[in-house]
Amino acid sequence: MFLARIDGTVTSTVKHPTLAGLRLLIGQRLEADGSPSGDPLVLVDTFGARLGATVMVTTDNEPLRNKVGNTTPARMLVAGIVDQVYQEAGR
Amino acid sequence: MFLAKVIGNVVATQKSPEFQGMKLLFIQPYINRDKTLVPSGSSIVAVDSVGAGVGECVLFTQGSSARLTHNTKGAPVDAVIVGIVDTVEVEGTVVEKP
Repeated sequence: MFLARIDGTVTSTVKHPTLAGLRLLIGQRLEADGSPSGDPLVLVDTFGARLGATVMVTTDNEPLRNKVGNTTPARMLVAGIVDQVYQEAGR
Repeated sequence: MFLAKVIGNVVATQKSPEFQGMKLLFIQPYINRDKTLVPSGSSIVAVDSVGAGVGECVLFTQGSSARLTHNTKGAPVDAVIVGIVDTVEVEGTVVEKP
């Protein structure tokens, strides 16, 4: 898993049938110091994560495959909404 | 498997129910730079299965195999800590607990 900041939502009318009804968000992976890293990601969200929230993203799509079938192309899911990250002193 | 340094704890109240009771640690993978291990690269949130703590050098695994440890079965986990490292030897040089 990794941490990401929610930057926005994605809407799509024509899409893979397994994505129907799913909430899609734009996320940005974060480093330990809070800086962004890598490209923006499209995440499947079932928690109702809000704009600016820090979330935990998993690349294990098994829960989604169980829900919408094995053919889903979605991979990254919001696995939880992060309250706090405690880091060792000096970071 | 990879080596990483535990750099923090992650707290999430609202999460997939399978995560209930799991300890989430924030880790940063080590790279080998001139026979010393340096934390480098993107930080990762991993489930702890061995009782590791902040500052320790740990062994972690990623991918769907992360779901196979005793306490991560059935959870949407893609990274798990599977060992606490005592020593590492790089090209004949023993790197103490880095």
